[in-house]
Formats: sequence, C-alpha cells, structure tokens
Amino acid sequence: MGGFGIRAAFDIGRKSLRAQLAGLNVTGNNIANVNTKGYSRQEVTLASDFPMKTPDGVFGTGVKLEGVRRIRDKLVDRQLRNEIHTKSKNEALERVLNQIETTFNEPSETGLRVLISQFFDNFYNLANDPENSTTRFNLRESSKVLIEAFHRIDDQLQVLSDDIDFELRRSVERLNSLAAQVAELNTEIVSFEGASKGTANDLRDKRDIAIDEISEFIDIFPLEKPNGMVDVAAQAQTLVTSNFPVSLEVTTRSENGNLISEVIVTETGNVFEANNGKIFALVQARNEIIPHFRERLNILANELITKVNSIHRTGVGLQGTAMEIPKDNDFFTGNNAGNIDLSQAIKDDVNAIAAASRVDTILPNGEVITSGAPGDNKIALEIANLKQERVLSNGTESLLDFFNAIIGEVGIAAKEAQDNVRNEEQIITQFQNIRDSTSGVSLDEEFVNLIKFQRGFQTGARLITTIDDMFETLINM
Amino acid sequence: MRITDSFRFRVVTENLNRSRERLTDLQEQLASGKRINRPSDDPEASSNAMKLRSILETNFQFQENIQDGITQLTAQEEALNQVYEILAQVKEITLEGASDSVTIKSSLAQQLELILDNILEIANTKFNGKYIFGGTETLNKPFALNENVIKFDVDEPVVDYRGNLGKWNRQINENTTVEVNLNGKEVFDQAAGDGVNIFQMIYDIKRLMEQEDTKGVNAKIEDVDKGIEQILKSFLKVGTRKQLVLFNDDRFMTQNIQVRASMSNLEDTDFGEAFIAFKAEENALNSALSAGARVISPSLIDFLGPV
Repeated sequence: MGGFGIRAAFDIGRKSLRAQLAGLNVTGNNIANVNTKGYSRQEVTLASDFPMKTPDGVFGTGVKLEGVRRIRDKLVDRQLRNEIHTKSKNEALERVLNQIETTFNEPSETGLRVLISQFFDNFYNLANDPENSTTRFNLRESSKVLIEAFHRIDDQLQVLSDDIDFELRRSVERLNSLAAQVAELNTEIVSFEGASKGTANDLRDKRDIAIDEISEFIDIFPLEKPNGMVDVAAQAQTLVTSNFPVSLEVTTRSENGNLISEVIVTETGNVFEANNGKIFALVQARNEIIPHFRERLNILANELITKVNSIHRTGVGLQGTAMEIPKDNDFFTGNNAGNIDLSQAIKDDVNAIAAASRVDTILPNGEVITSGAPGDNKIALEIANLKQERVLSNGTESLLDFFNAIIGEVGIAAKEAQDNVRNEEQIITQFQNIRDSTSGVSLDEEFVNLIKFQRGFQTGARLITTIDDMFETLINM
Repeated sequence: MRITDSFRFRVVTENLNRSRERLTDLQEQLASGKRINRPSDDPEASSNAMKLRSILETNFQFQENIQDGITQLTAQEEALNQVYEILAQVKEITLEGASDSVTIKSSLAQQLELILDNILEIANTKFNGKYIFGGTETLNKPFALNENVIKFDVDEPVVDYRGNLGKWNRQINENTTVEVNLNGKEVFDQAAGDGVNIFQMIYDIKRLMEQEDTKGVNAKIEDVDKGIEQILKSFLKVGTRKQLVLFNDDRFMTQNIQVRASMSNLEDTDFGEAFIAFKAEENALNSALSAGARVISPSLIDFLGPV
C-alpha cells in the first residue's frame, strides 16, 4: 500500500496515548514530591516523531517520547554550596562564642568583674578597720567566691571544649556516611544510566542532597565526570573518588602542652584540611578560640595571684594570736584560673591575712622578732590599690581593664559571627529561591499540566475510536 | 521569575520568623529595661558601660573610705574639743593659783589631780574598738600613769606613751591617702620645741601648788597657753583633713551623677523609641500574617471544579 495508510493513523493515536500518560505520570510524581527536600521538578520531553515521506507529501507520524529530564541549574548548586559552608561555619562559631559569652556572664552583678572589684574593696574595708575580725571574715568569704568564679569559668570552658570534641566526632561520622552515600550513588547512577536510556533523576537528586549536606561540614569542589560519577574534593585531599569514599576520624594530640583535636584520613594518617564549613569552625573553636580565652583568663588569675602575694608576703597578720609568720606568707596559692586557691594559713585563721607591715626587731642575742601593729593598714591599702594599678599588658591595663577587654573580645567575635550568619541566611535564601524557581514544583503549574495531559489523553482516545469507526465503515462497505 | 510553592512558603515563613525575632528582641529590651543584655548586642557600648560601671563601683568604695575617715576624724575632733575645754579650766585654776591668796591652793591641787585623771581618760579614748590616740598600736591603752612618780615622787615622766607614731591612712581617691588619726605623742606629748607635755604640765602645776610655790605656778601660765595652742593646732589639723575628705566626697557625688547618666544612655532602653518600634514591628507581623494567609491559600484547585 503506497501513501498514507489508516494503520499509521492508529499508530499516531497509540503514541499519543502513551505520551500523554507519561506526562500524567511525571506530573503525578512532581505533585507527590512537592514537599520532598532536594527534589528537582521533572519534565517529559516530547518531540514530533520522524516524518514519513509519501508520494502525497510528508506526513508527521505523531509524538515521540524522548525521556524524562530533571530541571536543575548546576551553577546555582555550586553558588549555593559556597554559601552553605560559610553559613554553617559561622553558625558553629556563633554557637560556641555565645556559650563563651554566657560562661563569662557579663554584664551582671554576679560576674567575675564585680567579684574582682569586691575582692579589692574588701581590702579597703580591711584597711579601714584592720583590727576587726568581721572585715577579715568578709574578705576571706569574698576571696572564696572570687576563686570559685575563676574555677567555674575555667571548668565551663573545659566542658565546652569537650562538647565540641564530641560534636566534632559526630560531624566526622556523618561526613563519613555522606561520603559513602555519594560513592554508592555514583555506582548506582552509572549502572542505572548504562542500562536504560535517560538519566537517573531521582538518584541524582539524592546525590545532590548528600553533596549539599557535605558542604555544610567542609568546603568542597564536586566535579562530575563524563561517566556520570561525581568526585568530591576538599582543600588538599579528595573525599570521594568515583566509588571510593575516604574515611575520616578525629584524633587528639599534644602540642605545646595543650591537647589539640584534628581530623585525619584514617588510611594515611594525614591531617584532613578544611578551610570552611562546620568542621573547620569546630576545630578552630576547639584548638584556638577556647584555648585563647582560657589563656587570657589564666593570665588574669596568675597576675592577681602574683601581685597580691608579692605584697602580702611583706606584711604580717593580726598580732596576739600566737603569730608565727609562716615561711610562705602568701595570700593565694596556685598560678592559673583552674588552681587558684587561698593559702592554708588564711583558710585556717583570718588573722593570718596581712594588713600591717612587718617590723623586724633584732634582739641583742641575734634573735629576730617580727611584729606589726594591729592598727597598721599599709599592706591592706597597698593590695587594695592594686585594683587601679596598671599591671598588665606592659603597664597599660589594670586587672579589671584586662578582664573588660576579654569580654569585649568575646562580644565582638560573637557579634561578627551573628552578623555573618544573618547575611549568609539572606544570601542563601536568595539562592534557594533561584534554585526553587528553576527546580521547584509549582502546584498550579502541575495542575494545569494535569488538565493538559488529561485533555490530550481524552482527545487521543477519541482519535482511536474515530479511526476504529472508520475501519468499521470500511469493513461494512 | 517562576514562583513555586516551596518558594512561596519559604518567603512567608521567613518573613514571619524575622518579624518574630525582632519582636522578641524588642520585648527583651522593654522587659529588662536594658538595650544591652549581652556584650554581643553592642560590643562597643557594652565595653564602655562596663568601664563606667567600674568607675562607679570604685567611687563607691572611695566614698566608703571617706565615710570611715570622717567617722574617725570626728571622733578625734570630739576628744580634742573635750581636752580644749579641760585645758581652759586648767588655765583658770593656774591663774587663780598664781595669785597670792594662798588658802585654796590645796583644793586647786586636788582639782588638778582630778583633771589629770580626766584628760588621761580622754587620751585613752576607745572608739569602735580602737584606742584613737595610740598610733597603730590600737589595741592597748596608749597612756599609762607612772605609779612611781605618784607614790614616790621619783624624777620620771608622770605618764608613759606606749603607742607609736603609726598613721591610719584612708584612700580617698585614686592618688590620695589622708591620715585620719593624730597620734598621742603629737597631741599630748610634744616635749621639744614649742610644744608641751600636757600631762607633765598639769602634774607639775599640781606639785607646785602643793608646795605653795606661787612664783613657780605663775611661770607655768605660759606653758598652759602653749598647751592650749597645741590642742588647737591639732584641732585645726583634723578640721582641714575633714574638709579635704568631704570635698572629695562631693566631687564623687557629682561625678557619679554624670557617670550614671552616660551609663543610662549607653545601656538603658529608650522606652519611647523601643515601644514605637515594638508597635511598628507588631503591625508588620500582623500584616505579614494576613498577607501570608492570603498568599498561601489560593490555588488553581480552588477555582476549578472536579475534572
């Protein structure tokens, strides 16, 4: 039969039904996944089928189903991931710095600043009334409270450091599982796409979600290879090569007497470098930020101990209580925020607190008698005046100035992290909107598609019944 | 731009979140009365406010020291005032004894004996548990009668000073300490120069009266005047110090008012402003809510019947 046959018309109808059905299918899938995280909208690609050349002219042969494609803008993906790791870095930093801020608990009427101030004020009170045991008891109590505050802050910073270690380990575990996921999906995608025509849309969505999440932890450069696999590389090392994930772990080593936590590659033992993302932030907080503030606090405590002791040593306690000047006539013991304490002599007896300067009388037999006057307040006054004295930072800051500077530093760092997080949130929202605008599902649109494909199907079916009628007419002729 | 459902939902949720975040922040400012609740709220202002608070606290302690100083100086002033009044009496008695009417001299001597006891008691004044004229030897009586002189008339000073020359210093500002005591030596016992030993002087006059040595008593009038002058000088010294201390207290009170005002500017919520901002934000939230409700709900589905 030459020319255009009735069977060809049947074929057009059949292909039409198949195409509209596929469209409905994809629309249904889109609707179902409207709230699925990371889902990219899909679209059937329809094309007119190869035309048929007949003596009567060239006729179309209906519709051809070319495949289902995922609508995704890879450029936006890359930009978004760049922002995601910056945001999660700043989020982690913000959280740590806020906790440090809370630990210092300033401005407040019960924080370390007030306690240091009260400690010295109690020395003034002692100077005002050196014979009175109440002023001595008050001074000892306020010293104890100050010491406890130093211990508490030091402990809390240690706990914070331990918490970060724990979170770091958890993050690395998650990162390992994500890397394994990407490697596995690489394998699946290649085998899937090799076996059938078209792309493995949903698997690719899954892989993109995993890579998005990886970029929360570290800064990465994913690279899709021609075979469809994605290699994920970080700064210096790769995380996933084709279907091989790298396994990471956290180790702790000692550096200059401090314990440092590091992320290393299990196989090689090399340090896994990250310049951004949550893991970078946690390592930085754990190894640099917290030790920095602990160090500053230790300097403060040590200076307080040294300066108070150096003056106290030259004085004598209240006479009349069988005063025997201990060899180590110190006020404090210890040398940092963690071990600062009251000397045993003062713990035992408040009269061991030296308010008076010491007078050494040498007896004719060479014996030295040390004494002091009960109303003498020289030593108490000297210690009290340490409050104003610029003893730190090369003589530019008093103890309180130094402490205020620590608080200022925490505040500025916390504010910076907060501001960065706010900024990143806005940028990310923009990119997410752009991504959504391309890849997201619009229910209105899908609803229109639903009707479109339904109508297409109905009309396609009508075509077939019409041709069927025509056949019957032919047969009955 | 293609507006998708998750896009619409995100915009609505984020607007609401932002609005609620700002409202919570304003609410905290209004409730606490503080614009700064943690250093990161405004690191610079918070750091300045902390410095100001330290100034206030330090001033407060200086004012405590000042108060204590005033209390001590006042106690000394009162004691000196009593001594002055007694010495005026001594002068009257001495003048009386210097005249030739002999008969009452023994009774004058008796009066002087009582006065000596009296003045010794004042010299041993104890205030707040401290002997105020003992220097820093505050826990033992600074002056003691030499019994040997009274009983056997040996040639020794009639009263021993057992205190020292120690100073009670009070820190009244960052750079200044003020002595808030006069030791017993300088008040009662300035043997050298223009000064006199007041106890010895009274005792000597008493002895001269007992011996009816009118000439000798007459010669002592000058000493009594010197003694009075000595007490007045001490009185003046205490007064000047009190003045200086009070001046510092005034200065701190004025400074504190200024510091409090600056602190309030830095830290405190401007209620008018915060409340207006709160109201505005509340309106914004309400608008965001009602707009959100309208944006989210309509869909093509609402307008097409079953197909």
